[in-house]
Amino acid sequence: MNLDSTQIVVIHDGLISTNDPLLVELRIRFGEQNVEYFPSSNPGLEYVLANLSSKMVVLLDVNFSHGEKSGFQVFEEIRERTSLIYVIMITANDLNTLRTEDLITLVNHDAFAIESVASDYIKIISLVDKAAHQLEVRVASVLEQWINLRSPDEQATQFIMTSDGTKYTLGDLLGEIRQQSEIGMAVERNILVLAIDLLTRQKEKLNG
Amino acid sequence: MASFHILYDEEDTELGGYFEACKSDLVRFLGDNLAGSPISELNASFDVATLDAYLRGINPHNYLLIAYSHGDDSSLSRNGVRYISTQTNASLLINSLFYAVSCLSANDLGPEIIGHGGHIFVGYRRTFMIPLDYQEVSINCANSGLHMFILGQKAGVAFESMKAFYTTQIDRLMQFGAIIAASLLVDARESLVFLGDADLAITDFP
Repeated sequence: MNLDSTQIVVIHDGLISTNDPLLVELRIRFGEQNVEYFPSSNPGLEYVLANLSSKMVVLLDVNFSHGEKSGFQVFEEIRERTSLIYVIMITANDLNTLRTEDLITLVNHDAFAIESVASDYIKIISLVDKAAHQLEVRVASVLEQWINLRSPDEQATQFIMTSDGTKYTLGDLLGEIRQQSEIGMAVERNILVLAIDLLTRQKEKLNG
Repeated sequence: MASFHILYDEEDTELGGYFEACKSDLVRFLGDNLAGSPISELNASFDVATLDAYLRGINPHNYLLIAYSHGDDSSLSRNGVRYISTQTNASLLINSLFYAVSCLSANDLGPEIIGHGGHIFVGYRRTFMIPLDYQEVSINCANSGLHMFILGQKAGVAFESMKAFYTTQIDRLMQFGAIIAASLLVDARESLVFLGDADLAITDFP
């Protein structure tokens, strides 16, 4: 898997794998190898959780057959493990018929968007484009990729210690970043401040 | 000759080693550059009442107090006991130059000390993290302002030198690809606070 490529994972039981216009368009835009389609939610979820280190946008249907996890359940299980994957919920239902508590879950856990499948595919493609771009520029995602590129030994070495004495390896930090915990967000913020600091001083040099 | 009073919590289970290493670095630097200057090391065994009496004994005159321990917005603490606090004894730090290598203490404790007649407070307004592979760099940065002050720079200039030293070390770490360690130093540098009279020099603390 190419860590530089954004993976588009479509988990939806109402599409035709070979020639559905949505899938065809996604494959053209993001590359055949970067679009994965799952007509069932359980294997789709398994795939997402097994590939947390890749940049990923998930297009997730709300409703699945009996015995399958619902889209909301899949969304919550993804969010239990990471905040760095963008999830776009799509549903055949009228958005007004969705349960309030489900909508609250989506808002509180930072769903990228919810869209009616009745919308034309261009709108959904546009949302995927936007999500993919935001992933490209999100500090946490870039940092996650940087950590993933370290050797296993480097990732297992204790790296920083917080004021309460907790020590973190790069691997630990990766988990904290995915969870967007306090330490994860602090690391993210520090990297951003470092980048601004370096850029600002470089600008001074150029001007000077 | 300036007297240095150093409080440090070497018994802290998490950061005791770091605090003691900071203290040792300062003592070594003084030995190399200001030989003969009196140094009082107050380790984790002191109690608050004893410390208060100690401060009363030295605070009629200008003095230098350095602390390496845990802290919060309003206090410094050792083993969960607040030994300098806005609520109790901050007023005893009148006439001090006080440098606290402690999380958060620049927020409330520092201004309180200056409000009570402290000459200078330098500290940090956020919690800080230590890059384990680069602890020595972190210690050098933490003490760099004191080093410059000891070598004769006025307090305000020494503080700017300290930030510049941080920047130099950040650039060094970046050359090694130590991005996260460099980012921790940026955070510490941005968290630094100077309060008080920037024109004082070590000769004002005889």
